[in-house]
Amino acid sequence: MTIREAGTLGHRAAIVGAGHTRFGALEEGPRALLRSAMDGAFSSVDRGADRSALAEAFLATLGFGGWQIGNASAILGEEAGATGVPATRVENACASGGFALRAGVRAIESGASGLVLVAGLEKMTDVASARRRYWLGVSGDTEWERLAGLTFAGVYGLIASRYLHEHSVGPEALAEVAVKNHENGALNPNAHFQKRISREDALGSPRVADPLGLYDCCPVSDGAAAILLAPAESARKYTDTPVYVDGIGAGSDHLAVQERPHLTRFEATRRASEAAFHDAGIDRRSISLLEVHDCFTIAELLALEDLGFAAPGEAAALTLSGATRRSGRLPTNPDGGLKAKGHPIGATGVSQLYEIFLQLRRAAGARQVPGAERALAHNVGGAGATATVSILSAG
Amino acid sequence: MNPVASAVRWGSYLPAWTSGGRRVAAPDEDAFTLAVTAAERVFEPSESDSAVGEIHLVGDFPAVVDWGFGAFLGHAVEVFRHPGGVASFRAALEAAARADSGSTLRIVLAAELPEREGSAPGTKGASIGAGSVALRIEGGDRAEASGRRVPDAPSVLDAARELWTSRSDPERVAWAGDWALTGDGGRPADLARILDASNPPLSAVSEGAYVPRPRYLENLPSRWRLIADACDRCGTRTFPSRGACSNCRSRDGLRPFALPRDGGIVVASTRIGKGGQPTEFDGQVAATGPYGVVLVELAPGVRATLQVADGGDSAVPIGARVSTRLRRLYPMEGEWRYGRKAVVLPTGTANG
Repeated sequence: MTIREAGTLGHRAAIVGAGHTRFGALEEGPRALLRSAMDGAFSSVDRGADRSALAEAFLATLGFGGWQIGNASAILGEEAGATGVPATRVENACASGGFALRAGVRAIESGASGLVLVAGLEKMTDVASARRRYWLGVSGDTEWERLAGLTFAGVYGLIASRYLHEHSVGPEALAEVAVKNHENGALNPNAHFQKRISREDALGSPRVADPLGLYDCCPVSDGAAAILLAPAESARKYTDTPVYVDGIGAGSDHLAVQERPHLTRFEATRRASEAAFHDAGIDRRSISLLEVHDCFTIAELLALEDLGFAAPGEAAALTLSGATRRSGRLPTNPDGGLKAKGHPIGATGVSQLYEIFLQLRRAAGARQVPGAERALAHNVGGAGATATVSILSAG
Repeated sequence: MNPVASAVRWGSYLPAWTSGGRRVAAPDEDAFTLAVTAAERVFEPSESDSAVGEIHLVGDFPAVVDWGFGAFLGHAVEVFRHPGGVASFRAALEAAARADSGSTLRIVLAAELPEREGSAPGTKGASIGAGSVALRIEGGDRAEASGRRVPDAPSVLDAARELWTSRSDPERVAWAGDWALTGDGGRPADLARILDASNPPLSAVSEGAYVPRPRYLENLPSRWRLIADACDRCGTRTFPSRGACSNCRSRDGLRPFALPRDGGIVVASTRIGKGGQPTEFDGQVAATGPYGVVLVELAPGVRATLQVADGGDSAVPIGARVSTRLRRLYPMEGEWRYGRKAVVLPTGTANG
């Protein structure tokens, strides 16, 4: 166990196992999904892991629809076969998973003896449709934005309108994000959507929140994901190929977009990104792939800019150039992203880590990014009210 | 002090929609919102410190008026309710003119929504339809308004128009609004759908995102009057007002001020597709279809997210100028929640 000063180089913690359910409209209930993701995580540990030796557990979930809003973390211990483990629910809307990772890393750094479980879960499709629409907006600003009739798609619609206006770009870049992520999703057996779409499909889809159409929006999905963290120095007790967490950063912003001076940048992401790169002590050029929070296509463009991979307004051209495809110089969302893989709210941030675990261990199969050594995960809560960025490297 | 009470300022408001040549109110309008919109044309936000002593209401008003005008003005006010009709309008003007304290303002507000009252008496032969009129009464202790008695007419709006056109002292009074109260203009509406949407069940209960009534009431200064705080320490203007500066978090030296109601500029714009709205707005969308939402810069650096009222079929363009108006938002737990919405101004106009 080591407690590291911020800015010093090295590994903060290691991921030694990861599991993932299918994402989509699934038969399984929330407990079965959790169990399945955690079984996957434990069985992926090359040299085995003792469930009773879990030191700590974190459950990322919004509790969508009202299913077990209070004390859901106790279920995590039960379904992990580790009833009794100290367990905490982490809730920061769509960024719950990223913040749960951060809590897990902090637990390791605080001296947790043994493995720390970080799981994410959301069961969304079993909620009656009116109730589902109620819940889709609960993480936005309730007292002002919601009373104006805004949904999440609506908030991102406002942002997209401003982005296209400020940078004088057309909707093709948005469509290209959707096309690229569907192409990646088609290679991911866990993805909600495993089919390609054309740019014309995307541009011609029904308007959900102008200028965003149906294909600009991620789906409503069920799913769970889980990872097992170990102290970096004992990682090889579990596997020869751990994936290390080298840097982690987080930030927050005004809840309502009306109170932010800039609509087309997420200060929470910028802050998280600066902190994570400082923490990891590396340069952006050494990143091999990105998992970014593309709940709407516009969000992927903002992410590329806020994370420092494109200047303001230039993510559109970068995307249209093909640079963010798997074969490009900056592969982004090789698993299909939220857009095609699906977005079970609490599971999303953990799912990004699962993909990075596979990619950095060269185990991503047909969608493997060649030569992946370092990766970045970016998880956003709501429309930028909270965000985390983590930087990981191959062992 | 002028011994003769005078209606020194007149305001009027006509809804944007028409049916059969008469104006009809939108589903998110009622007598309260109509009256407030007319009142805003005789009373500026910057005057919010000067006291309105009495409000005389003429017409059929919802219960919200018992406390709503105090919230609208930001101070306690005595509200007198008079029934609808021209005779009642005349009585209300006389009562306002006779007020004991000649130094306070009195506002007479009349609102008519004949289409919602079916064949209500007194509307036969009325030429305008739905609308509202506000008269700001100052000075005096004698029962006169603009020096002439209210004439007989088929509706209050017709009577007000006639009174205006025959005023004896045109230099001393000002008018703001949709004068001269004609039913001309407006956009055709499907009256059956509007009426259907105007009286939804008020029984809706929140299933998720929820603004409890006390939080709704707490926010009314910002929600209804656009009150922001200017920080003496760092100069930042915070909206909505929250009791602390959004920049330096100072709680001292905050000066509340009213943002301009008119002339805000759209900085971002979307339109919520059918079926994408939060369920609170289901009834509205079923009746009047998709709606726009805009982020409006009300003053430099101060923005508000507002639903678009009386909107058309496409998203409002960025750069458009809007006026903000009090409207019904949605029914919750037995009552309407009210707040400001944005109305797009025709190019070249400064206020609505």
